Amino acid sequence: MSAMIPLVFLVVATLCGTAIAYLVGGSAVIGFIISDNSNFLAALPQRVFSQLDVFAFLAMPLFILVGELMNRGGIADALIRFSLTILGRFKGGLGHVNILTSVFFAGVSGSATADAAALGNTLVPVMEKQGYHRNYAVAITAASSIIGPIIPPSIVLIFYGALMNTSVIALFAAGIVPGLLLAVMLMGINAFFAHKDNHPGGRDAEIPDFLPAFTHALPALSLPVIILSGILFGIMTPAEAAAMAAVVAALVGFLYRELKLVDVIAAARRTVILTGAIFVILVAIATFGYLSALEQIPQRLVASIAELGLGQTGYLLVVNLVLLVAGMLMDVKAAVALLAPLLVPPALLLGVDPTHMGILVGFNLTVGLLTPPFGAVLLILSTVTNVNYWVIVRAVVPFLIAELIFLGFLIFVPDISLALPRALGYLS
Amino acid sequence: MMSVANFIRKTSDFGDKVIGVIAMLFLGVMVYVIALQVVARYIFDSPPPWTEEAARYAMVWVGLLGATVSFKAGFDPVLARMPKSLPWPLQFLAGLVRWAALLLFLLPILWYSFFGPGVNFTRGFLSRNWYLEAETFEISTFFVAIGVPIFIICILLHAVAQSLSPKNTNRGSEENDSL
Amino acid sequence: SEVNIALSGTEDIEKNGEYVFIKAFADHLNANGMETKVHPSDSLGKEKERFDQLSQGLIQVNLGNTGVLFKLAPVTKGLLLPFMFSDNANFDESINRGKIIEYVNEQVAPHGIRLAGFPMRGGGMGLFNSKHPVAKIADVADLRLRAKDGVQIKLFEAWGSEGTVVSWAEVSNALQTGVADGYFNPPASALLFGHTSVLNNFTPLNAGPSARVALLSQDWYEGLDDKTRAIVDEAVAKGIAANRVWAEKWIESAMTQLQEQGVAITELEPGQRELFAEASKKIWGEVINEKDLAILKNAAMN
Ligand code: NA
Ligand code: NA
Repeated sequence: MSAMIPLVFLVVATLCGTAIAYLVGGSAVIGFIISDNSNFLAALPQRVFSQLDVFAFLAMPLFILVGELMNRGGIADALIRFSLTILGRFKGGLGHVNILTSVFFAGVSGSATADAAALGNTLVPVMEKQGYHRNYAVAITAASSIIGPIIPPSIVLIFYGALMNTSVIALFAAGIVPGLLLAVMLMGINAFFAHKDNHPGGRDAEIPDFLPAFTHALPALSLPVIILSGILFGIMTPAEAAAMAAVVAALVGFLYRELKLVDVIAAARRTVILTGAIFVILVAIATFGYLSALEQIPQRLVASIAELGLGQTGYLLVVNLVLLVAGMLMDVKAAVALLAPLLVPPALLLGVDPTHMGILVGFNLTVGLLTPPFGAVLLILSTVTNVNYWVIVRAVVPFLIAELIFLGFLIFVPDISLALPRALGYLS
Repeated sequence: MMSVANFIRKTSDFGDKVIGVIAMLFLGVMVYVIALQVVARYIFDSPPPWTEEAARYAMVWVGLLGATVSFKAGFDPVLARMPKSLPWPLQFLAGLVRWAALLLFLLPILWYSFFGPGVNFTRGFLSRNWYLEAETFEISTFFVAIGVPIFIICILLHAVAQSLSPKNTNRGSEENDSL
Repeated sequence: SEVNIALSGTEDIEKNGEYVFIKAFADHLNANGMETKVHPSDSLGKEKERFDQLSQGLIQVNLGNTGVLFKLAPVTKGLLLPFMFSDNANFDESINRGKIIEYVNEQVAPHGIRLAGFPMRGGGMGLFNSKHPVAKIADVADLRLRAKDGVQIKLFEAWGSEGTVVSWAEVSNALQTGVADGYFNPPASALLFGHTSVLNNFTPLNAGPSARVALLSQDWYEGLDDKTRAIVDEAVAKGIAANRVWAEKWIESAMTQLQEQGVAITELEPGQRELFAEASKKIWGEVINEKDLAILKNAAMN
């Protein structure tokens, strides 16, 4: 009964227009008090510090800065003109680009939230300038940000493999087909909306001449080259690529004579504000996470599932639900570490393949990042792109439903993930 | 003579400007230090070992200070907006609830930044960090930890300033649509 | 009230030496009527956070890395010095002889912390790489090794090799892409993090055990009555004993697992370990102050 108090406060504070960070943080503190854990509030200052002092986050502010500089320095425009020469004939071309970028991008940095912040601040403005509706651009960025962690390399799968004693190579091989299928499915949806809502591009579109557009874009093209090749070929970590890209973006902006010192300062200021707004939300969610860890809520949930005595399908469906919620509330890596050792062994006893289970766990937890009300990717995109949170939620729903249906297929047709590793001889 | 309210407002405005500049400097440090890492690795062949940790600490400062700038600018996203047409008693009550959330979240963090078990200052968060060292260079992590109470004090100051002059809360050009 | 025990790894009695310690420790407490609650998988936070909660007495037991003690008790910087100790037995013997735990506790007690013992992670430090077998020190010349900090860079340079600092989060990527060719770690690192697909050579160096620290809240420990405190002391002893038995078995199975996963194990040629040790000793003075180094050298009879 007393567990209702933080929930009631959450709802009331939401209706009173409290910012997300403070309503989540405030309800968490109420939770500490009524669960008789108020002495643990003493851990909060360190939690704030440690929650921000995270290597994987380094790329986030830097990519936001890159986006700010690109938009102000004429780089975004140059890249759009150039991409139009190639993709202009296709309806929804930039939507496809957005999806493909995520195929390369997200898994490498290991944090779908960082990727959402990066693409939200670079690709979304580009799409908007080309004539896409901002809400749609945000939705497709959100939906595709979760592809990366399934297609190798994937830090989530490495983590799972290490914990569950499952071959990481087999897991990687198992992630390829589902990840690509997901990308294809999203491109299909993108093509559908492109025709339905008459997105930019198509046969009648005005196509700029290739050569002048290309020459003009040459300096600007160094940016995607630095970012993608730097990360993919291991020359630089994502954070390093972002820092170099920021330096180059400023230089190219000066070269185009569109960037002035005041613009650089404005870009830095916006980066600082966005980073602060995102970080304080992450800190507040982490406060809730700490309470749920103290009370061992995930472990208790798992124990009550065990009591249900479900068959394979029933168990998988319930587990997937738990993972969806966990992915919404917890850091994905933390959720794997805490939940996989508890949820996976019973599934294996029921005859689920451990490699297949790894893909399900990884996919589920990342889809959780898109699940309202606290899906981190949604919150971050709302902060970065200035689009109302519920508008984003509404825009993402068609994609989210498609992804959940896809997840259902994945549950019932293990061959989608297992065929490739079997063919390659990684599984018996 | 300046009234107390006016003084608080001025301090809040001035503090915000200073903090904004400092946060941007830390962002610059992040870019510089990480770029240095790449340059040192591929040109001088000897990457300094401290760059990553230094960048992380600069990022903590950017995040904490940025959060205050975001708060001052009214940028923090909300899930629901109060219609401006509501009668003032409701507006006032909603304001109280917002204050309650703010204080519930921030006051424990502020208190325990200074005090440890048994209201003991020498075992509070700041004192504890005084005795912890960064991993790759010899600086106490106190100099990053101090950002936590600074972040809270600034936000509380801005909140007081806003409550004192609600009409003046012209959230300006940086206002987030999601507010 | 219950005893909160936090650790970074999972509750895996087969693979996780820290949990082996915790299981035996908690079983003994439970058998004597004390309740325990185990928080695995960094669920209460990473190293610094758990250490911080312990020092405030919020949790009663924490298993951490030695790094959390560096500033409070600088002698702990010497515990992982390459070639200071050879194996677990040598480590335990030396720590007892030098009364190192007592020495550390004098320094950390005012901060609410008590060092109880050193659970081992398993095998000793050795050299993994993706290029070729290493049987002598000259073989490392063409390797670029992942360093965790500046000290390791100097260590690898002292061996005649080269280092590059890569944070642990990036190691998988760095190895895959060739930013680094290998690392100086115990076998558990490669097995637990799935690096064996890239790192197909391992050379055991017997460069010292991979020790972690079991820490107790000093507030809690001091507040116990004599009888309960004795139970806790016994529980620590049982935990350490169980950990050592496990460690012996584990190192054998680790070698088998490495081979099964396609890692070639190369032993050093005679006399080569001494060359590695000699080169490594050059960096000792950079890690730890003279006084503490002397204390450790005496203890280890080095
Ligand atoms: Na990936
Ligand atoms: Na995308």
